[in-house]
Amino acid sequence: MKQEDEIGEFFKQKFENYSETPPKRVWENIASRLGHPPSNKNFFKQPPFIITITIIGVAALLSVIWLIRQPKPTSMNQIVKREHIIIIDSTPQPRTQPAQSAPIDTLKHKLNDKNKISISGIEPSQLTKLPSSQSQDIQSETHQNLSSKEKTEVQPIQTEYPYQTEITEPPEIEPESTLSQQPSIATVESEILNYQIISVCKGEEVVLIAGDGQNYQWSNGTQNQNITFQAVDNCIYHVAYTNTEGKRVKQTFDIHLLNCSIYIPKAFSPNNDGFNDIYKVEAEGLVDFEIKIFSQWGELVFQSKDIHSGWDGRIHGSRAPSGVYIYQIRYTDPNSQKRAFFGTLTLLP
Amino acid sequence: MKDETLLIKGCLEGNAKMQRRLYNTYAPKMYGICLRYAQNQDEASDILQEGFIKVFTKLQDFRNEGSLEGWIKKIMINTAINFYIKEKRYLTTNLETDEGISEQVQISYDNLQLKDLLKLVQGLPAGYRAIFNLYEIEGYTHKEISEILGISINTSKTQLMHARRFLQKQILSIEKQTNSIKR
Repeated sequence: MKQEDEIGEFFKQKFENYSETPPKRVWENIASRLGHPPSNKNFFKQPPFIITITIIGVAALLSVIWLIRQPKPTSMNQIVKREHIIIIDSTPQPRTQPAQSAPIDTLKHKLNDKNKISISGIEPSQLTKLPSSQSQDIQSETHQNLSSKEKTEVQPIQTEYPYQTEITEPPEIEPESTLSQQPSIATVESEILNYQIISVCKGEEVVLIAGDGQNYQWSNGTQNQNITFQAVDNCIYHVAYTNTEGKRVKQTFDIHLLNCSIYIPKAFSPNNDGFNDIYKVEAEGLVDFEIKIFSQWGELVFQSKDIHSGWDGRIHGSRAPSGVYIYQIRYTDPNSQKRAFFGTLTLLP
Repeated sequence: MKDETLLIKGCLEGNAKMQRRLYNTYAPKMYGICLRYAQNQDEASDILQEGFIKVFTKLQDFRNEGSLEGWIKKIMINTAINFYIKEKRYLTTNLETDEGISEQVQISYDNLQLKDLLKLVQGLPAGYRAIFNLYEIEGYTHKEISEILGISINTSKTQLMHARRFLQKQILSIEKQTNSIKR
C-alpha cells in the first residue's frame, strides 16, 4: 500500500504548480460570450493574405510541374518503379504510333488507387523482388534499344529519366530488335499472376485488375482490364488476355469471403418478457473475444470471454439500476485484424 | 492585493481590458488543472472556457474570504466535474487493474516527463480521474469527494485504489519500454 501512497504524492508534487498556456481561441470565445468584439482582426482572414497565399500556391504548383518535366537524377526506388513501366511498354512489337502514354496512365491510376481493395495483376512489390542487378541490366538494355537512333545522346543510365524519354520521344523499334532478357521476365510474372486467393470481408467492394495487355475476356463476360463487384459470395473469376508479349495468359482470382460483421445492441430490457432480456453481441468466427460492461462509475458489472454468454442485467444477483452502461469489446476478426470498441448501452426498465 | 481588488472591480464593471488581464493572470494555471480533469486538450479548453464564463458572471459572489485564485480554482474543478457528468464521457482506455501489482516492485520515477504523467491521468476513466485528482492533488477527503460526486465514501476509496493501481501499472510498463530501448 505504501507504494500507492507514493504514487499519489509523486503526482501531487508534479502537478501542484503545473500551468500551461491555453489555446488562443479560448479567450476569443469567452470575449465574444461576454459581448466584447474581437480585439484584433484575424490576420488569416484578411483578403491580402488570402491573395498572397493563392499566388504562392500557384507558383509552387507551377514549379513542381516544371520540375517533373525536367530530366533529373533519380533514386533507386524511382528507377525500379519506372523500369516496371518500361518493361510493359517496350514489347518487341513494331510501333509506329507515337507516345503510348495510355497504359502508363492507367498504371499510375492503379498504383494510386488506395481507397478500394485493388488486386492488381502486377504489383510493384512483386516486381521489386527481381534481383536488382538483373533489373538494372534489363533497364539499361531496354533503354539502349529504345534510343538506338540517338545513341550518341545517351547519358549514363543512373542519371537518365527513362520515363520521360519514353513519353516525349517515342522510339521506333525495328521488329527484329532483340530483347533477349524479356521473355524470362514474362514467365516470372505469369507464374506470380496465375492464381491468387483473395480474402475479403463480406459486403466490401472488390476491384480485380488483370495484368497489362489486350483482348480481356473475364469469366463474367466483361472485356475491360478490371472488374468491380460487391463481395457477396465465395466465387472464382478467370480472365484471359493477350499480354504485352503477345502471349495468351490466363489468370484466376479465388475470392474467399469472410464474415466480419458484428452486432452490438444499443439497449436491452431484462424484464423477463422474452424480448431482449439478455445483452449479447452477435458475430461469427471471432478469436480472443472479450466483453466487459461497466457502470457509469467504472465498476465492472459484467465480464465474459464467451461470445455466446450475455449480461442478464444483474449485479451480484440483484437487478442493476436502469440507465447508461459502458461496454468494452475486444476481439480478432476473421481477417486477423485486432479490433476494440467502446460504447454505451442503455438498460431499459 | 490592492491590484487584485482593482482587477475585480474592473471586471465587475465589465471592463474588457480588466477581464482580459484577469484571464491572462489565471488561465495558464487553470488550464493546467483542466488538463488533469479532462480527457484531452479540446475538452480541457472547453472546461476552461465554461469555467471563466462562470467566473466573470459570478464574480459579484466572491467575498474576499479566501484567495481569488482559490475561488477560481474551485469553480474550474466544479465545472470539470459537472462537465463530464453532463456530457457523459466515460471510458477512454482499458481497465485491466484487477490483477494488481506485486508490492516488491520498485518504481523509479526518473524517466517520466510531466507530459507523460498527464497522458496517464487523462487515460483514466472519468470517474477514477476525478477521484484521483480530488484526493491526491487537490487534497479533498473521501467524505468531501463522496458529497461532491454523489457517491458513497466506500466507492470513493475503492475507486482511488483502482486509479492508483492503474497508474502504477502504466508507469511500470513505460519503464519496461524505456529500459528495453536503452538496451
